[in-house]
Amino acid sequence: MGYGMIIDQQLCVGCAACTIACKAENNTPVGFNWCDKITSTKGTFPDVRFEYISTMCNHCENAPCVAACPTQAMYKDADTGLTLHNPNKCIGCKACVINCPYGVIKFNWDKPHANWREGDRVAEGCFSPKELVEEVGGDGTPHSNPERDATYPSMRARGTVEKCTFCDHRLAQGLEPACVEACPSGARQFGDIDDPDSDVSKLMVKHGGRGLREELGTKPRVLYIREYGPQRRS
Amino acid sequence: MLDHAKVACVDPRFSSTAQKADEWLPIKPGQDAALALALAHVILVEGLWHKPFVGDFSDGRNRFTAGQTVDESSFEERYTHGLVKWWNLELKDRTPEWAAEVTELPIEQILRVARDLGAAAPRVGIWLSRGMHMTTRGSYSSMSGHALAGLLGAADNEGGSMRFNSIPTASMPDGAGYRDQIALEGINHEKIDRRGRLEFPALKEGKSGGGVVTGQLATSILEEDPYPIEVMYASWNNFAWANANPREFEEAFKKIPFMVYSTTNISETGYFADIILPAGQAMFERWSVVSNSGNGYGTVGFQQPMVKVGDSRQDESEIPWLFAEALARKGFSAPLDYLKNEFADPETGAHPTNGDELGRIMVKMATRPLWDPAQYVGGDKFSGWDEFFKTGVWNSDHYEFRSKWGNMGTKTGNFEFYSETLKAALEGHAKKHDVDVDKVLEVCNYEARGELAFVPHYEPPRRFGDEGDYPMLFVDQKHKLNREGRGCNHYWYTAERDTEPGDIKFEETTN
Repeated sequence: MGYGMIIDQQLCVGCAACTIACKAENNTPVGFNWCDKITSTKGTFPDVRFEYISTMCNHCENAPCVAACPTQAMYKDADTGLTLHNPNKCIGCKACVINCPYGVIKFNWDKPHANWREGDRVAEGCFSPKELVEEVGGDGTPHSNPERDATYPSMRARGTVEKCTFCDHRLAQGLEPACVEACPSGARQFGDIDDPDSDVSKLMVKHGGRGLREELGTKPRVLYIREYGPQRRS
Repeated sequence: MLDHAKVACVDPRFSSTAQKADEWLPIKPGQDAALALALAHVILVEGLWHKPFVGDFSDGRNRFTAGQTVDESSFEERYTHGLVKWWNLELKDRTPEWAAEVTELPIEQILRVARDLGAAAPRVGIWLSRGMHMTTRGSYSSMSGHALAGLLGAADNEGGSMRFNSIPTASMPDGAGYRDQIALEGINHEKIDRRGRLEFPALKEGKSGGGVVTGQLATSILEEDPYPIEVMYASWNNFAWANANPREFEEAFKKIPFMVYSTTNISETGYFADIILPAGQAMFERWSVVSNSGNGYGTVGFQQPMVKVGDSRQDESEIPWLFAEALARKGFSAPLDYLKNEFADPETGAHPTNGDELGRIMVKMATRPLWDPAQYVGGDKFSGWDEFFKTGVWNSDHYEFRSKWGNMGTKTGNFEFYSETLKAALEGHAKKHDVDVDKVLEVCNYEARGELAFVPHYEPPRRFGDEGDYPMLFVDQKHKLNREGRGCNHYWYTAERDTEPGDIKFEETTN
């Protein structure tokens, strides 16, 4: 059993709904995107090509962050194949951040959501950020999602790292990751990539997928099929 | 769609659609009609139009040759009107060579797209967005684009563009009986935006002054023409930000002695208000009916208050109710009488006693044809309000393709290349002002005269500012994270601005 994700680049429209859904689900502060992107624009007008690659923790089978962690705070979950993080064991050494070849692990230098602790109002009669949090009762931010707390602290501690968990709290409820559910074009498929009969495995067989920087031997479990630009049809 | 269809995207900008398209046509801004007309020209010259919809020459011999007129009697139209007139008045000279020069697109690309469209007809989706027509003289650009769907038989047909399935919600009760003399006189005043004047035909649904001329509002206030504005109630708009020339709107709002503004958030317009009424946000804080259409279905749902943040009020029920109560205290009870007497729960007959109840009753009344079995209008069937309320959405029956062929809602009932409908509307407007149609065109800054006004035709775009001083052309951009045309100031939005090529996080860019 090993969860993995297939992203069909032909279906992806680069809308960032995955990124926004992830932020809403996982309470990430400004500048931290568990689900992020790599974009590139190539060519010369009018022959220009744009590519958008949605990125996140690859939940590598051979995870360098896990190997580097001195306290086993970063670990591979035996039942699901997920690469998970236990903040209680995290000593903030950042070995995982340095060793992750994909740059998807973030370190909390400060207590998150500082902007929501500001007390200034834009104008009298408006809420200050702090007052708004108090009014709606969020955990550090008015957007905070209490469901995240089920398996990972909604409000992360200063001096610890954080990254995508493939929404393990949703998987435990039989739901798909938030980014998969939010994708308006159905570009993201999620399932057991170790099971050859799963839909994700069948897509891999049909289209031949690839992971990012596979030459490093990390065996990423986020895999991409087809191209972002228009496919030439017969 | 990309698995099954070839996509050609016409946009001066390398838009999200252009990024995924087989063909990107980076057209010179404002020249969309030139391209559409040249595509139509090629489609006719090469005999690629959809004959089951448009018809054909009586003897089947194609007489459309560049630069040459055609005898109208030689063509038998089916579900269209005025094809040969259109050709003779306009299309015969709109060659791809001409369009290539005007649009700055390669002629090979114009020919290739025209032939691809013809080969795929009638399974062609001609989809026009606002960039094509929300510009000066854009009406004829819009007509030129839509006319392609007609030529290709792609109007009201599988794969083509469809008309919005009607949403059979009920209208709100008539308040005419509650108007006193002051109200009746007020309603008969000319509208502040000068709609319907000679220079502002606003011919929505063919009626002179039937549309809105929002951009004119600021000038009217500043010039006190048709009259000065003493009190203004603005609700859920942000004209000082969203309109062209916002500075003029700022000046106009400064001039208004007393301004009340109902808004969800602090905004550019809010700075000019004497009183701000905090309004509930639509999605979570108020009752409202939402309708949409897609994939051949019309849908109606509703929104209801779920949370209350701060001291806000619902702008279409609670705020009018508060206004009505305040007026009643001053001795003007008609508005409150109207709300209390004319609105009633369709199931219990209970009248509203406050604004929130009014909101709920309004939704229930508006959606009644969708949930009341006695008024069944088709689509999803419900046993009553409770089931509809629980389900949350009503879907229409599937769109019936080709049902509007010969029944297009035009003067002739057909798809009009020569628009008798526009002709009647323009003539009606001209008559109202005791002038001829050419005078209307002249005053409205169109170059066409005579019959050309009634067919899709080329009007050179008007450039604002001197080309020497301003060599760049401004193309209004709708970022892919925008929903509709409205801006968004949420920091998740600004933080992800770089989802578009050339854009930077947290920054505005020119590209």
